[in-house]
Amino acid sequence: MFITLAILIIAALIAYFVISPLKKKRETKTIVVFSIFLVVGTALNIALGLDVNVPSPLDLISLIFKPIRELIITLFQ
Amino acid sequence: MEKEIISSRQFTIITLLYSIGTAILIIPASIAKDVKQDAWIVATVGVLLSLLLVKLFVSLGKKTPNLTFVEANEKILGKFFGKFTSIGFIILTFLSAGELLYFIGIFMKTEVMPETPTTAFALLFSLIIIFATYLGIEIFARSAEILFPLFMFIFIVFVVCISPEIKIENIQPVFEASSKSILLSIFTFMSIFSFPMVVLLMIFPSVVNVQKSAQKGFYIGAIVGGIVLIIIIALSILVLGASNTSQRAFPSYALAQRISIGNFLQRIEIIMAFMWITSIYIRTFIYFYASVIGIAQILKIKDHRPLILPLGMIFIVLSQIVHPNIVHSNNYNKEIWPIFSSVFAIFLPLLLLFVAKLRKIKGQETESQSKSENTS
Repeated sequence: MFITLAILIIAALIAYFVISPLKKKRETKTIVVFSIFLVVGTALNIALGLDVNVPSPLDLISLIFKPIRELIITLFQ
Repeated sequence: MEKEIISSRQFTIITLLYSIGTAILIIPASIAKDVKQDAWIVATVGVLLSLLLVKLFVSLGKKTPNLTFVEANEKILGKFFGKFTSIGFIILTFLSAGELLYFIGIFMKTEVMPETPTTAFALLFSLIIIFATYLGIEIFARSAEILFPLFMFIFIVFVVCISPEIKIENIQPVFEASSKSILLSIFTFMSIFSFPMVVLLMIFPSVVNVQKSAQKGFYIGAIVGGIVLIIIIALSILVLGASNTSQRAFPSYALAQRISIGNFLQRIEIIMAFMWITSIYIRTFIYFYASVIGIAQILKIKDHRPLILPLGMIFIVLSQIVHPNIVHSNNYNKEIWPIFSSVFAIFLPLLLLFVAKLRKIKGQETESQSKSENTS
């Protein structure tokens, strides 16, 4: 609970300090991209703080490249 | 935003330390498992073959002298396919950045501070990386210049102090391994030593001020970095022996623990650890910087700085979730990483060169522009 609050406060501070100068420059695209990444980052950080089991992205990569690896090994023999 | 420029000497130093990177810690164990005492032969051949790869990167850099790798993808392959390959490339760099952050944590935890959670190391180390990214590549290049003499000094002290422990019978018999396992090990060695150099294409032609000497610097950095690695691998096998090397998680650290001169100068391994932390810092920074710049260029954002903090948050979490344990990490590095990185380090540059030849894209007309920009 405490970790969740701390992360939310940090995220709010980051958002405040980054978005206000961007608003002056009228860079809407940057604000949108920044917000998406910030939401994803905050969600992941809270999940980490609450010990939720997040699957590793490398397992997805392994899933793609394992068949290729097996194909190469069979070619070598 | 004004353009940042680094000198070719700084680029050489970055290449050198970058190629050493994590290889200095994990390579001895992973190749000693397969080829036992012939690991040093594998490393030598691997470094020589890596020069061919550097030649490929340099010739690709010549084609697009003032574009980064992501921009070059879009220019050569066109908008749609270029975006596709760029996104794949960014996924590779960003995941690797998280992996290295995990790595520094697990290294400190297993060898130095067993009670501390890896999250603490990841947090502290990532703060440095995020701060360096915020300051930009110029300041980072200067920091690399400062760290390099220290690195070399510690390395020379390390080699001199460990040399009394050498037992020459550890490398006999030579050429015992089968040719097939040697070939596979060369591939593994190159995947950790020279395939990641493709990420340097994000800074190589575009932010270096003198193209010609930077190309030479690329070769020099790769050769010297390779020599450092060959020496480390040879020493691990000469001092620890092949079977002992292959059982350790971090053989070069175990090597530093063996230093004992007259029972007086000993337990200096933590000073030696400065070497590994330096080289891992350089490599992590380049990965993270390439990811941030790459994402900004894919989405056509002028200033990449607002993206650093949110990406840094994801980066910290990534370091905690990429590998549940060290066994998972070793398996990934051995089985999946060589293939995954070879797609982006060999096939993609070859494809880019081929398409650039077909579409007759040459760097000449852009080079004259960049020259006039530099003089003004």
